[in-house]
Amino acid sequence: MNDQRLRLDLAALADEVTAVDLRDRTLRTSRRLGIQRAVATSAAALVLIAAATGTAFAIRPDQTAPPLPADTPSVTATPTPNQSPTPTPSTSADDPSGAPPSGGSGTNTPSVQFGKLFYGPADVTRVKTAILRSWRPGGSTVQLLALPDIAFKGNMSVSSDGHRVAWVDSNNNLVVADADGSGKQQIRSNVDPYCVGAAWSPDRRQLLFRELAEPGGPGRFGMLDLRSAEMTVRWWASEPAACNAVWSADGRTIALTTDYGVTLYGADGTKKRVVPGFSRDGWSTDDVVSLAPNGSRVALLRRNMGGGDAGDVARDLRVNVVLDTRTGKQVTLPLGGRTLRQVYFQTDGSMVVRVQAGSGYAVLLVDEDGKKISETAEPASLKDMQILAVVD
Amino acid sequence: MDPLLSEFDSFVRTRTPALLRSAYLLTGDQHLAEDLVQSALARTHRSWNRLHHSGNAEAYTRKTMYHLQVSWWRRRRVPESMPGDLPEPRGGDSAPDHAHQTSLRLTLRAALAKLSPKQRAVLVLRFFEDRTEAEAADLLGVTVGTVKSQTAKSLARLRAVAPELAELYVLEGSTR
Repeated sequence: MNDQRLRLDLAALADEVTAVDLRDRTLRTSRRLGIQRAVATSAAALVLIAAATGTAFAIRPDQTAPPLPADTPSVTATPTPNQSPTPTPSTSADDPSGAPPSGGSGTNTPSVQFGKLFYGPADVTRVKTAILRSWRPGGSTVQLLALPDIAFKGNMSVSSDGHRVAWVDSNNNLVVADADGSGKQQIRSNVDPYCVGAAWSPDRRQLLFRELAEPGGPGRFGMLDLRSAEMTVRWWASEPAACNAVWSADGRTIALTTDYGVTLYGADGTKKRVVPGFSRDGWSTDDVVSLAPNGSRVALLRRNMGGGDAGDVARDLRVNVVLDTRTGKQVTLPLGGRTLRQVYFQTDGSMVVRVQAGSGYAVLLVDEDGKKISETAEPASLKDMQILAVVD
Repeated sequence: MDPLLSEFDSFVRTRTPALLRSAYLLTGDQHLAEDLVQSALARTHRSWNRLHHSGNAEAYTRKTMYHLQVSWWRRRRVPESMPGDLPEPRGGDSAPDHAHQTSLRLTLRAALAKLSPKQRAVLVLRFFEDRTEAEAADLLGVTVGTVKSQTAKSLARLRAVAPELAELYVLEGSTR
């Protein structure tokens, strides 16, 4: 026998597949891609095209209080979020109306308040750069720095105090800058732009990233020490097949998407546990968006693999479910019959919940017990944007 | 109907069966194969304005398919070890009857599932699509040297996980 036998056996094996009509599914997926990069025919560019639909990630709020055990069932609500100094002297308000709270049905308690929400365009198909914006409910929207489209597609991160932004540019350089665009600094090259991008630790001292490996995929996980003069990197001993890093505010847990679901790791890459409820033929997720301060809950977009339209590799910051990371059970949210769009945990365990409200959106402040504290309509100027981060 | 969309429809319907065959070998699973082809076709659709003139739509789709498969974002969807152990090898049969062929096919499928996505891709390109090393390198965006080394590693891995196949195949691979 020779390799002709292998050819014949492969052909026979290929005969097992059943031909199906993929036309409608293809068009649906095409519509959803929505963030296609400029077409290129080189192999390297194809890798990017495949991945450009890939990743973005959420930014964890700060937590300066002593860390809680990872399995602590709840955290004490810390008194109120600071009116953190506006980091952007050069920014301009673009919504002078002030977007006063509206539709509030609850009473704002002094211990639980909205943090600052960061927004970017939901679709950057037709732009090369876009403006990062921030908004605190009750205030005006503020324009921050301009970022390249690749940052919004996959990899930008806001520090837990909202003062700094990190991203990986199209040349695979890890870049940090102040939120107003000043102090821009390239701090590392050869960083994978899509898998993890740059994930800022809650104490703002470290950036988690993945090195770019040949031939274009993500390689080692590195924890870059921002306070060291040489920007030293501590490499994880393990290299899990995982992406979309999301920190818990206590700094003890990092949620990563793996296989069909989510796995929790320690900050050193040690595997903690797999979030139950995901399987090859059942529920799956590609995009973990936010993790509770103690790692007990996770917000993500959950899909049914049997739904026929699964498998789109596009990164998606929409959220349709909040799960208990130990039991996999869904956490009930007070949506009032509206469609859930996004959820971000704050450092006190409360949640900023974005819901569809008519042609626009509203954000709800929900405490860690699932009770709605307040509700505010988003300014119309944010209608075509998505929340990228919430910081206290 | 928009003529462009009509052309794309025709392309999808005529080329999907062949694409699915390759995708099935790459993924080892009907649903994952459909998923892979669908994702590649969707990207082709988004570039259709340019591709339908060039006549390279199928090459583009295949290239995209292979890159999606070996890129991490798809790799994580495919377990490194798919369900099902290697079937017990049959002994003593020299005549390749139908049952024997079926057994070999199952063995091959299980063995392929134990390869990495990149190793599977190299084998499928070289021995199923009958691509040259240079063509395979171009499709995967790697050097010819990488294709050679991956081919050797893939065949060695096949030999290791399914020794009975080693008796059937020349495992050093061919060079073109």
